[in-house]
Amino acid sequence: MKTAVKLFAVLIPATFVVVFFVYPVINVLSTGLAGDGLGSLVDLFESSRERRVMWFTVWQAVASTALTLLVALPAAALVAGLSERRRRIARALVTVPFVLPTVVVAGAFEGVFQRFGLVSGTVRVHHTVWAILLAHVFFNYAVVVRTVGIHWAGLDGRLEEQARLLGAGRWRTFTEVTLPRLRPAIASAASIVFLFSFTSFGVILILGGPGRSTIETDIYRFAVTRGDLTTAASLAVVQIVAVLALISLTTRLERHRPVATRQPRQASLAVGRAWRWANVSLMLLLLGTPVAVLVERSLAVGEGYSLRHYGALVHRTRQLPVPALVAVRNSLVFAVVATALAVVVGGLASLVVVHGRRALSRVFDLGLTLPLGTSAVTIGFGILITLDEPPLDLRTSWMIIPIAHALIGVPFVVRTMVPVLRGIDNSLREVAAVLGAAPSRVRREIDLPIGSRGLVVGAGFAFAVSIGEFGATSFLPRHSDSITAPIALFRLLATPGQLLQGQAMALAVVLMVVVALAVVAIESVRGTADGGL
Amino acid sequence: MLSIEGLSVSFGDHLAVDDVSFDVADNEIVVLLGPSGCGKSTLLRAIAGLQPLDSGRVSRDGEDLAPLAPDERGIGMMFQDHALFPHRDVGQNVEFGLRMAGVASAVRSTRVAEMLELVGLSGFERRTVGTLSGGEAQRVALARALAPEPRVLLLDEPLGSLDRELRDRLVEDLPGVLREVGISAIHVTHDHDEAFAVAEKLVVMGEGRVVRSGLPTDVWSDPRHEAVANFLGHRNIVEIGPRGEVPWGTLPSEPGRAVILPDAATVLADPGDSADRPGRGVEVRVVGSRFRGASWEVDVDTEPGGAHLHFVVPTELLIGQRVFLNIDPSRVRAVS
Amino acid sequence: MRRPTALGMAAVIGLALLTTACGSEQASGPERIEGTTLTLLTHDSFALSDSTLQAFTAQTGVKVEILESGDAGTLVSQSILSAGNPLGDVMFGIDNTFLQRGLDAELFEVYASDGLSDVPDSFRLDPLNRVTPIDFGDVCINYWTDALESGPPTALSDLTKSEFADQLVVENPETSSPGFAFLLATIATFDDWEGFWADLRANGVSVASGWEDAYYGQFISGGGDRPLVVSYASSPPAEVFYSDPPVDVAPTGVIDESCFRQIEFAGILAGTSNRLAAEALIDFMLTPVFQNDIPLSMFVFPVIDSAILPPLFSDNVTVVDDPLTLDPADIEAGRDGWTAQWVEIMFG
Repeated sequence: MKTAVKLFAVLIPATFVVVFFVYPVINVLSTGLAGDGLGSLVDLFESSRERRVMWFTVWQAVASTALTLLVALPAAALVAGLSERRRRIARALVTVPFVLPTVVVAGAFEGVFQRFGLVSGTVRVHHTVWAILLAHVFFNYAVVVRTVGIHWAGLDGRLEEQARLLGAGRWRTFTEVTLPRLRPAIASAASIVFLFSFTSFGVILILGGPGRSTIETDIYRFAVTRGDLTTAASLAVVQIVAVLALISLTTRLERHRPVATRQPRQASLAVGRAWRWANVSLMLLLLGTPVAVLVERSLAVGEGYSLRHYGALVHRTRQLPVPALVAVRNSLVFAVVATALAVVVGGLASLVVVHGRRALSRVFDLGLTLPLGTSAVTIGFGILITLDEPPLDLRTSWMIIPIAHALIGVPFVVRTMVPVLRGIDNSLREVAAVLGAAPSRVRREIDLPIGSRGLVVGAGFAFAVSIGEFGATSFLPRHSDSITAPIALFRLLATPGQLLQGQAMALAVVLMVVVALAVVAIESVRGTADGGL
Repeated sequence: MLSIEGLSVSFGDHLAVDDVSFDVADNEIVVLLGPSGCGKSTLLRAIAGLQPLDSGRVSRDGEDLAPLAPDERGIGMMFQDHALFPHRDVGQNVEFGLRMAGVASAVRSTRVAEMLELVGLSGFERRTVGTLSGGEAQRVALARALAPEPRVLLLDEPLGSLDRELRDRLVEDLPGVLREVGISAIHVTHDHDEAFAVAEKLVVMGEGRVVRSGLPTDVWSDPRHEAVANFLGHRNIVEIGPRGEVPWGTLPSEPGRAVILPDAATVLADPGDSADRPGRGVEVRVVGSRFRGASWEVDVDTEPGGAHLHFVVPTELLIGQRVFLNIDPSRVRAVS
Repeated sequence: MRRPTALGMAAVIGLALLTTACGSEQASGPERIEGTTLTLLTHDSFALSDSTLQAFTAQTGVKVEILESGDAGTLVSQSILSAGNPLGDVMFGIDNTFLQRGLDAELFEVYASDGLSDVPDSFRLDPLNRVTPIDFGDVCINYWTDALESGPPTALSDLTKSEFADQLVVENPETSSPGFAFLLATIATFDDWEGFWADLRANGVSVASGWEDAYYGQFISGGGDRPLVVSYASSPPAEVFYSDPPVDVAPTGVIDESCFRQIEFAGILAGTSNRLAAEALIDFMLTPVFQNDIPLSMFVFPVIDSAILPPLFSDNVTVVDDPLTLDPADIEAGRDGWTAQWVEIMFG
């Protein structure tokens, strides 16, 4: 029994990732690189343009990550200090940006830039790297607030009090006592933000302006526009190698293990009122403004306001194969399946990462995070040419969409679970063992309830990722009636006309509401799963 | 001298600390004794500046501490389960306060070594926190709290999480260590043995208020409140009638509730045989007897009245033995 | 190596033709098409009325499943990757800017539909009939009528005048299909197209990454501040059709001289096992039922002469008689060099 469980914990995630990611990607890359792959790789590094592109890719991702941490960490602290119920709501609300299609957010940002005169003049944001960074902060805010927040809420506040009493001021208490204990969670969040920024597509193209390219946008350019699969595959290899290097680095940081708490007690150190308000205002400005612009646009009809665009979602327009609300339903179904897959695969994988042998743990951590840092083109085309024969002719099956979404959701589950599992007080495990619990039992009685805290947050992420996913979905062939909401939204915006634009905005708002409610619902599962711990 | 005057703290409607006042003289060890949930810990946190006050004042040598943040008060604190920094080793934990104070590295390492020696853990500098036993962790926490030489040390149930034997040993060590460094301390506990072993002054709390304070011996021998008496472990609490009636006869004491101190009884060598001879004492049957080295702790049932009493006597009594006890009326204290 | 590159394929095209011809012979046995299900592979902008494909099913007994993915470029790349084991039976949506790539990769089987007789020669770009023209649309500069007091520009060369400084937004030809079409329009118009773009740049042209960003982000229609945008000849009728509140006259107009023609084709994917049904579908796409549904569904124009344009179209657009065009083979051969040069001019 025990060995069987262990075997499943290893085999299920391994099979999933090998069949749906590793093998397809290797297949598409070897197809692309066949012939003069090596020469093409060398050419890449000899081309000054591509060197510039690689450099820009890395530095914008690093800058985006740093800026996101800077802006979102205080918010994570703030959220951690809320009561459990409010915390859940706050965690759901910050998830909203996650599901907004880039083209819609870009439009909202541009509206804001225009209003504040940031399109031209001395302070110009539009089509600058600042616009990219700003959008990355907007999209990734939730990653930091959620991943770090859940960890922060579990920290024993008495350690901070102790530090204060030993003469540390607020700031030093934070840097000396809080920050080191948060490090695994911060590393986890940072790696996700980095990967997202590293492989960001729409933000770079739309907000960065036409002169900017990253490895990701160049893969698309070569593979799709130019039909040069060899160069595209070379770039994909560079991307994967860079991502592997990054993940190994953060894995090492996460390993510095911390930090146990039996009874999480809120840090009672009163945060300055001014600081708190500054933080809330920043959050509202950054997350709220584009969202408010969207809501306003969804309601605007001519000179006035009406709910007409929302009503129109029930009916099919000629631009969509089904009514927009059916697309929302499709997205929900895909998201439920994708989340279930991600939770099973990611949950088992986290146990292997935390408890498995070192080498196995490493391989799992790398292999399962990699899809997040891999171009949608690589994954989409890989699946297309690999899963094309029975018994796995999934190219045209609807299952391929939730599977692709789950590939991106799994890293979120793993990255939220692992720090939480590592943080479980070993003495708790020992106590359980002394009380006669077998190791598998210990896992069930101790790891599972506490881990479920991370699991639900990861599941919320996986759900939101699936609801909002655009890139990979658009690269996979789909039956027209299984269109997802983001694709439907994109299509509504592909034809001129105020009516379609209004509907698209209404659909975006519906998506936001759906995801916020869904995340609240998912995370309240914890109430029962969490038991007394 | 640290003065606490009229201090109150509430959480919503619940008044956790209610108008508490007491002083701590320089180098004095004050023990706050009370049942769980009586507001002791809240009071400590308020003194440390970790908990905002509703009203009242904490001052040191006349200086109001209110404007000072916790890190500026020169107050050290030790928590029940040590709260050591898990990401730092023993040496780094102990030197933390010194580092915050900007003490040079060389001085710090000397001081860390001294502190560890003081608590009997020399050479533990590079041990990781996770490898320490419970007692060792508490000693490290004490060393850490003392290292920056605070003027006042607050100890919140510092021994509460330890097993009995370890606790007894640390209870013996603790006052010595505190006196050696010369520091005022407020020690919170719910254990009266621990309280008596450590306290130079005892403050008994109940439901957020100070119910009795004074020298430990005074408090013990004159608890004044039945609750205090109960809490200090007194078991002989009786109701004395208007004419001195008690279940086994009479006591020449004030009517009302009273506690008979356990040292009130002397065993009469020869009770004689005359039933009405005055001063022959109370006839009792011994139902429990425990040797305590220099004395015996006995449980007895009075023959008339069947009252269950508890005494400490210098002579051996055997279970089942019938003896006459003389109860010294001056060791009977009225309680309210 | 799964399959040879597209270029290698071009070299053996004759042999390839022979193979596809054989394939079609095999398929044309006594096969009954009733009850079969066809898969139509298309891009994300495909749209039709429900009744149209129902009519096809009623006529032929063939059901049609629609498989969509990405844009036209993605569609072609995917089909090239899965050549030999195609995702569907018929592809719809390859246009003249990608046509040569698809032909070079021999994605399609030859089929000359009877319906072609109703299609003007100017649309029939593949003399071998591997693909069949279905619709066309012109990529043109649109203007916001109210914002141009002294009237819109009439020729491409007007755009470099100071009068229209900071007024035009175009799409990046590297990431946008209309953007590429407009680049082709300038190449077809000017011998020194590089000089034209350099002047445009100096005149403050804005480059968006895609049509949505240009039209909704920067053009006045979506709340931006530029009155000139690269869009479609059919954008003005769409503005009317999807206006809210309703209007009768489009707020936008089209500069005829700037129009580059995009023609969309359908083709039977090589390797299909439903050859006859696929032929029937291609035939159907050239019937008035299908052709008449095109304008309001996809906002492009039908290719057959007998198609009836809805009044919305006839009132708001005039189809340009002599649009700008380039040969698909020239486009495929020139693409990388032109776009690279364009990038150099615009951002160098």
